[in-house]
Amino acid sequence: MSGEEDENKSWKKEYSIVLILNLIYVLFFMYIMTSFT
Amino acid sequence: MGALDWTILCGTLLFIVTYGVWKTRGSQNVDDYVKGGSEAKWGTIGLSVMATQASAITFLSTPGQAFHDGMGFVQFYFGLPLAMIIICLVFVPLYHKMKIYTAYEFLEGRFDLKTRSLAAILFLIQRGLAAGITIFAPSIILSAVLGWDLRTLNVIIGTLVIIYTVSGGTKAVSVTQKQQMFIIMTGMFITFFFILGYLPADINFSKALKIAGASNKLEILDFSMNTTSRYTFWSGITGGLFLALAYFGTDQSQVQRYLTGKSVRESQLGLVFNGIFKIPMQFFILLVGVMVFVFYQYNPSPLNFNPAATQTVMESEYAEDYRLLQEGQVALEAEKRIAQNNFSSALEIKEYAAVEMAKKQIIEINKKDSINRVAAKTIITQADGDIETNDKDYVFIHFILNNLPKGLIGLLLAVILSAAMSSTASELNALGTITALDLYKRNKKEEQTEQHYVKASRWFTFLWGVIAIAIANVASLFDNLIQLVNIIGSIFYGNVLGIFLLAIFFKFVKGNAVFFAAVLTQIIVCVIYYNLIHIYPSGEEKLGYLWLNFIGAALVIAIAFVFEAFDRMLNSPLAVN
Repeated sequence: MSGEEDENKSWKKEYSIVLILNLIYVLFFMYIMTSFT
Repeated sequence: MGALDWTILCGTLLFIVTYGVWKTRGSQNVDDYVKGGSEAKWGTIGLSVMATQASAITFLSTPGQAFHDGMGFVQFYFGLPLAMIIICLVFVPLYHKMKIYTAYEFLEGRFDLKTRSLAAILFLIQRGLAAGITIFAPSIILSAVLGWDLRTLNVIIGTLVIIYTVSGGTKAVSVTQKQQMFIIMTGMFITFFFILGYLPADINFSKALKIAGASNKLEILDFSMNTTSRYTFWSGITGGLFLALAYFGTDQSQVQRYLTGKSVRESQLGLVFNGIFKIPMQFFILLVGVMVFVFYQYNPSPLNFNPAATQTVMESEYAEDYRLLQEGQVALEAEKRIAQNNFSSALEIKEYAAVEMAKKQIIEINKKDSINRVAAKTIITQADGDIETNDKDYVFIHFILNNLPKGLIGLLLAVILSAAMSSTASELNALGTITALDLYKRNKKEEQTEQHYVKASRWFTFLWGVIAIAIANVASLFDNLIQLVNIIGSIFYGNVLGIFLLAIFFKFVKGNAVFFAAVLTQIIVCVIYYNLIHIYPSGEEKLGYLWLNFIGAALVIAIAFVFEAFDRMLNSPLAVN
C-alpha cells in the first residue's frame, strides 16, 4: 500500500470534529428538553 | 398568488434551468458527463450531497411532522455523522483508487458480473420508484392547495429537471444544487423570522419554546429500547447508521456526488460538511414546524389541513356533523388562547404553581383538540373512504399560503420546487448512468466511442425522466410521504449495504454465495415488511421500518457465510473422496 493510500485511510482531525460537534448537538437537545418542558 | 409571487417563482426556476444548461454546455466525454470532469471542491460536494437528500418532501412534510408529533424525528439522522466518517475512511479511498464511475462497478471487480447486475437492478427499482415519488409528493400537495392540475405539475417539474440534467449531466446537477440550496435556506430562514414576528407581542422565542414544551413538542430524545417506536435514539444510531451507510456509501445518486471530487481529500471533506450540518439543518426545519404549532395556539386552524378533505366533507351528507365539530373547535381554540395567556403570564411573574396549573390546562385542551381532529378524520372517511385524512404534509403549505406576504409565497414555492428538482436531478443522473454503464456498456460486445456512451447516458437519463413522470402520474398518496420514501429505501438498502460490507471486509466470501444470499435476503425482508409493518395501521406496526436496514444487512452477511461454507464443503477434496 502506498503512502498516499495510507494517508487517505487514516483518521483525520475533521472526523473528531464531526463526532464532538454531534455530541454537543445531543447535549444541546437534552438541554432544550429539560429546560423548556 | 399574486403577480409578484408568479414572477419570483417562474424567474427562480427559469434561472436555475438556464444557468445549469449554460454553465455545463459541451460535455464531450464520459468522465465529464458522469463525474463532472472530476474537478469539484469540497463545498460543492457537501452542498450537492445535502441537496440530493433534502427533497421537497423534507420541506413540506418535516414541519408538519413537528407540528403533530414534536421534534423526535431528528433522531432518525443520528447515525448519519458516524456513517460519514466510515464512508470517508473506507468507501471513498476505495472508489477513488479503483477509478470507478458507478458504485456497482466495484462489485464486479470483487465478486462477479451477476452480483454487479443484481445490485444495479435493485438500485434501479427502488430509485426509479423514489424518483417518481420525489416529483409526485410536492405535486399532489401543491395541486390540492393551489388548485393546479396534478399531472401538469408533474410534467412541469419533470421536464425542467430533464432539460438541464440531460444537457449537462453530473456537473449541471452539482452547479444547480448550489443555487438551489441557497434559495432553500434563505427561504426557510426568512419564514422562521416571519413566524416569530407573527406571534403575540409578549411571546418571545424563549417563551415560544416553553409553550411548545408544555405541549410535548420538544420531546427530542427518546432513550427507550422500544423497537416498535419509529424514532428512538437507539434506532437512529443503529438503523439510521445502516440506512445512512447504505444511502451514502452504495446509492449511486449519492456516490456520484462525491465521485466528482478533485481528490480523495475533497470528497472526504464534502462528506464531513454533511456530517456537521445535516442534524442542525433537520433540527431547524423541525423547529420551523414547532413555531408554526405555537403560531396556531393563537390563531385559528382548520380541523384538517388538507383542503380537499374539508371540501369533500362539506359537500357530503356529513356537512352538518362537520360544521358542529368545527364550532366546538372554535370554542376550544378560544379556551386554548386563554390557557396560553395564563401560562405566559405565570411564566412572566415566575409563579411556578400557576405555571404547572396552566400546563395541566393546556394538556387537557390538547387532548380535546386531538379528539376533535380524530373525529374530523372519521367524518371525512365516512364522507369519502379514499380521501387522504393524514394532513401532516399540508400544515406548512397551509401556513405559507394563508399567512406569508406576497412575494414570500412565491419564494417559498420556489424553495419547494427547487428541493424537488435538486433531488430528482441527482436521481435521474444516477439512474441514467447506471443503465448506460452497468447494464448497456457492460453488456455491449463491440467497442464504441466515448461520444456514443455520452449520447447513451443522455438518452437513458431522458428515458428515466419520462418514467419518473409516469410513476408520479399513477402514484397514490399513503401515510406520510417522507416516510414512504424512507420505507422503500429501507426494504432494499440493508441488503445492498450487506453486499458491499461483504465485498470490503470479508474477502473469503465469493460471488456465488453473495448473489444467492442477496436474492434470498430480499425475499425475506419483503416478507418481514409485509407481515410486521405493511398490514398494520400507521403507528401500530410491530417493527419500526428503520430496523429493516439492519436486518437486511445482517441477514445477507449471515446467509452468505452459510452458503460459502456449504460451497467450500461441497467443493473440497475431502467431499469428493
